Amino acid sequence: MHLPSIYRLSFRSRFLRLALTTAACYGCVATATAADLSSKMRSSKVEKRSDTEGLATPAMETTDTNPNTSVSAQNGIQGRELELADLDELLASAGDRLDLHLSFGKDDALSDLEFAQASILAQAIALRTTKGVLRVTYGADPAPVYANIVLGTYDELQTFVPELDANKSSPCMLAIRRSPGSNEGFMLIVAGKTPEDLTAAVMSLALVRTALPRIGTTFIKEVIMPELPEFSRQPPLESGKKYSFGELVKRGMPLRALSDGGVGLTLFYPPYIGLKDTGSGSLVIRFQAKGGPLRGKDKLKVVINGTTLTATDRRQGAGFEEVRVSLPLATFVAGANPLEITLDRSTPSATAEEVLIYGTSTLEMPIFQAPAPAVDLGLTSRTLYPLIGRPDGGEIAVTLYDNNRQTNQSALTLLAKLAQSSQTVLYAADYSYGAPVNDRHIIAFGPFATLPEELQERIPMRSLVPELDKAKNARELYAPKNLKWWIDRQMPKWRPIVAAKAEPTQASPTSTTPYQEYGYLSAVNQVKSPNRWTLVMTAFTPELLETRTNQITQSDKWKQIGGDIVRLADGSSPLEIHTPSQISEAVISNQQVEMALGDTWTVKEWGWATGIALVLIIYLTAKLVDRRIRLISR
Amino acid sequence: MKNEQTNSREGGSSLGFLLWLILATAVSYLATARLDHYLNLYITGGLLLVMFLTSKSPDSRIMRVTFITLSTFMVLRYFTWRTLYTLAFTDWPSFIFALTLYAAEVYAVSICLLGNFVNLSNYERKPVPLPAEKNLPTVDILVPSYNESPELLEATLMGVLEMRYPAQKLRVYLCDDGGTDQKCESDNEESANAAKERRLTLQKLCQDLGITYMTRARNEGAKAGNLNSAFHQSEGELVVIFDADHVPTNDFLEKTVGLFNQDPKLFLVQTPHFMINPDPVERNLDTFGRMPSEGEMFYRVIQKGLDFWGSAYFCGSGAVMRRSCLEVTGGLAGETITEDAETALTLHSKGFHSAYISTPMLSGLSPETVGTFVVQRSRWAQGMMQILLLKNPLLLRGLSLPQRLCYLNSCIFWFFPFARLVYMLAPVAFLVFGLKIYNANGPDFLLYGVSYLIAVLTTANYLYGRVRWSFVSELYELLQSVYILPAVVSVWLKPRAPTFKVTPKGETLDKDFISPLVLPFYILTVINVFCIGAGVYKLWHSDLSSDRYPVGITMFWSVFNLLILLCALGALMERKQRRATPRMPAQIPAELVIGDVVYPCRCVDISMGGCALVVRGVDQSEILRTDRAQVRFKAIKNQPEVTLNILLRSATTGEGHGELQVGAEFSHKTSEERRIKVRMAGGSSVRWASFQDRGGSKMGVLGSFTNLVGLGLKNTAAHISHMFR
Repeated sequence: MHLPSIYRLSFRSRFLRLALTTAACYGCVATATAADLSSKMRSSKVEKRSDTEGLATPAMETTDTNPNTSVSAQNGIQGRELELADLDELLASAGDRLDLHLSFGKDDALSDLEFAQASILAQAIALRTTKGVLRVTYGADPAPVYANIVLGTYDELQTFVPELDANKSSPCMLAIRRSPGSNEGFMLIVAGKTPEDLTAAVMSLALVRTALPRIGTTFIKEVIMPELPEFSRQPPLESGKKYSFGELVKRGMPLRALSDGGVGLTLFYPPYIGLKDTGSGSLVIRFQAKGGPLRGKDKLKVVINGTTLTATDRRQGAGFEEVRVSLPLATFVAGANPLEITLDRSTPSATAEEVLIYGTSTLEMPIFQAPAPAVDLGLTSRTLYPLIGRPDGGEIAVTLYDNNRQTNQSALTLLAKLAQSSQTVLYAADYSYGAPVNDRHIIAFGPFATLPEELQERIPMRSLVPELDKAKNARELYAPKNLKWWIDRQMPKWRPIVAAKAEPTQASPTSTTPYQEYGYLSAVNQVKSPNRWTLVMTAFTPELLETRTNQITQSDKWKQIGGDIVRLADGSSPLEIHTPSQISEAVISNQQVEMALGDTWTVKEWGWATGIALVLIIYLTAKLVDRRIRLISR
Repeated sequence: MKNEQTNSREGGSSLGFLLWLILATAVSYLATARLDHYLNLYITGGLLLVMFLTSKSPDSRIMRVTFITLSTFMVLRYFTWRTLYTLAFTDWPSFIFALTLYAAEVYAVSICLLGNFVNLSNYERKPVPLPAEKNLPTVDILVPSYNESPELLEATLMGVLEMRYPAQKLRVYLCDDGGTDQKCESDNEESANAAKERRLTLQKLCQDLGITYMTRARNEGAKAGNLNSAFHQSEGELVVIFDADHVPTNDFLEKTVGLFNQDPKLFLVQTPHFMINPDPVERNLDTFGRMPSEGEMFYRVIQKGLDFWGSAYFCGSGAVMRRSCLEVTGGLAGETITEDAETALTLHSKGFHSAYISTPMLSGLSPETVGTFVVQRSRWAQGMMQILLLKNPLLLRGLSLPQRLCYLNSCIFWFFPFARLVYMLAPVAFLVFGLKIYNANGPDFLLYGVSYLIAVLTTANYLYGRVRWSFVSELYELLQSVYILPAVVSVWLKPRAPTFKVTPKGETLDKDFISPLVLPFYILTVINVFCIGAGVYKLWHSDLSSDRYPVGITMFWSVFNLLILLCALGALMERKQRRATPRMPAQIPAELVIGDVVYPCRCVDISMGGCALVVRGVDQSEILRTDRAQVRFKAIKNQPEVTLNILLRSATTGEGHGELQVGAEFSHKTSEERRIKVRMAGGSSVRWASFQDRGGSKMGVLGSFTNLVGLGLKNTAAHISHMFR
């Protein structure tokens, strides 16, 4: 489901001289009829919703003894009506963990639009907090948690905001109240006249990164979406290829003007882990300095990731100068690599000197390779790269293969965490249940049995050592509770439990936790579109999916994420990480083979044992047959 | 010293077996390994390749054992995966059907494994020469009869009398249950008169032949009762039993009696039942002589395997038994309706031994129609079920472990109707009703399931390829399944209730007709066609890639079912039989005598009714001048020159240049001629053996399948065209 088309970004393409930062600045026009509304709010009571109970008029004068709200008390939030501008402070006061509950009037299955709204809201809130632990839940009614967001149309939410009137001209509104019956927490009300207007209200919260109005209720006249550069795909640089700068810009390489007159550009290195860092590429920069050709000790300074590169050659052409610079791979990092080109005059000028970089400048990458096209999940968890090219998530499709509360909540929590880490709200992403649009990166959620077959094959449920080929370890049954599953559940009762290690570790082949207990996070390239990636979070059941997602998104675990596949057995266990550096021909022999009773052997052990046993039994059988024939023939 | 050596040998044998058992357990456990796809592909492919190479290598003990061991390993791998990973509960209807399908596969796997065990060796016992005449035992030949024609009986009895054995040591008895006192005194006057007439006719026949006519007061205990009655009235050291239509070759006793001298505990020497007429399937599909007969798999391979393990059992006819052993059990057992196998089981459990000589030394008649064929098999199925339930070879004391497994194999084989019908209907459950009957993804099914099927087909081809072409078993089993299943179920409900039905022989089919048993096969055909349609619909409309594999595989299964059903429909089109007495090929040098002119010729086929002669260098008109002639068979080995009167019926151009094929009908003037005819037509075991070898070339799996499909389509077209006539 896309958000209605008016809220999708429309881009105008820009060429060489376009300078924008990758972090978007948003503007939003809001008209408040605040004053009279605020005064009315202060004296009004919140009437009970007909289908809820327990909601009471927010107390205006309360004694708050909760130490977590001491800051707000100091800042004067206590004892007065809440204002939207208090949102950040309220979030900061949430304690170690932020529980965010969204009320839809629904308990279980959501529509594509409802999930999209919920997710964007959750991401928007997550962006405003640095809490290490986020939990996002939803339900029909508000819950006794710190942060509630109530969504609905004006008609549905009149009990919360009595002055809501469908006849109002403003199509949507935001409001904040104290949590009913509590001095802690808050209730954010997001409403629209119609479902489309509701979406506008959601977008407004997502887009406003600066302080919200100092007002308890604000009505929004219009939401104008920002202009963002067209980042089309942004595929990473490829091994051994030569690019002109013109090509790079067409591919989506961002350019920016530096304050000292130079040009900054960002090269995207593949997100693969285990990339070899030996070898050097070369940059041939054709430029024209505004202040005239370089003379004497003047040079063109090229810096990548803070490392100054050395020019190996310099020449002058007709109307341009050319500098050749060696580009060691060791200077690259996975993901974005800012490169700055400035003039370094022996006699600095008083004002910044512009340098014009020609599109015929070239970048030639050396041969590099990764053991496997395995994405560094650490990079993805921090920056959403390589899923993010457009900063609005317009290249991403979020898809859930199961529509129940636990799966939805796990998706909301993980998306919020990703938003918080990468400081990106995916408001232009496509949100759907089981039907991702084509040609997008995918963030997928669902119990293992519901995932599409090509994803199931890529999730090594049994071990973390993937094979060379795309077809990964044998995947599990469509449905749980087969005989093997039952045997596996019995086995740990009869075996001593292996003590869990404290540090994140490579996958333990002797792990006794049945694989069905794990939650998995992995990124795989899409089979049909190799330059597209799928980030998938899965577990065997929806309940486990939610539990493991909540555990993985805790900051201590989140910071440990790395490798290309991550799995977690339970909250107290360390995160198990796999890196693809183990992948080689020899790895096959180190792979695990699982036997009927749950014990695992290495392939080598099994191979030798089977070979020897077969040879022996053939020999012995032949001998017994011989003996039998002699007996009969006597 | 000898005792010590014996003890040491026995101890070594026990230790060897124990070690084998440990290794077998280890191999079975190793087969449970769950491998990832890539590794699985390598291992599976490697095993299949070694199996293939082994099967093509010269037959030797080690190669055979290697092949069978690898086959067993592949089956165990599949079975483990099937058990642990493909049975999952999604809903009750699916689970119930999944368990039903699983039960059918447990049957299939069991038969595979037991079959591998039984056929571990291709040991072939050699006949033992007869001792000196003075040491030869006395032999009583018992020929039970109920309603067979006197002509049929005469041929059999003449064949018996042609057997080479000192006459003074041979007594022949015709045991007539069709002329008992009970029958002759029946309240139904017509039946009573027929019985009396029969008795008189057969008494005269016996008198003419110089053999003993026997009957009894009451028809009790069916065939076993009849034989026991004769058994107690006879005295020979050895007892030979021939069915009324089983004409023995003249070397039957020469090749069997000698074994009894070798082993004092030997109670039985069984020989194969060789049929000289096509069974209904062979006749209706016109495969007689071109494809191995249905019985060859049992008599040319399985019985040899049973013999290797000391479990060759009595098949009711064509067997020699030691009287003193039978006296231990009081004669033939009669608790089940397959008294033959039951007797053997009982005597095996008492520590007696059996033997099997695989040379075909008698010629018999197959049932004429599919109906009578099914009746016969129903009896066998019920009888073996009774043995399983009432005797239980697994628990019967006195049997060795291999014997238990061999009898178990023979008994549980008859669960095939259940498995066959489940396989027929399983596609419906998935394609039409959407039941989750088999939880597996495409790659896993390819690596485990398909590899198992390839291994099983390869094994069947290796063990039985010369005697049973691939997929022919499926056809025969399908034809029987619908009707045998209720018979099997009835035995389970009332093990002592089944009754014995005589298998009619010698029927003549004088026109084509569709078997009355065809209706269930029409229904199954419609069901499978519908399934295929449902599968196409699912593939067309499904947008889930995960559906394609299971739907595709199940459709393929349904298509296979349909092809076998088409063959079955072809087999259910009963064809007219042109000859009442089937002709069997021969190569006997002879002379055609017409008047004073003698034409050298060779007899290329012969039956009890006539023969075909190939004459060279003769004009057709000369041959047809007269219809009366004689055929003089040249002396060969032990056989003197003999002459038979014939009537010339046809003369057609032969295959070779200048050859004429003359069809002749025997025109006997004396009983001596009839006896000569029997000797020529049915007296040579060499002829029967070479006939078996003629149809015994391996077709390979694909060749067999293509052949069968072609036959099925062709004969189904005839079936359909007959329906609309």
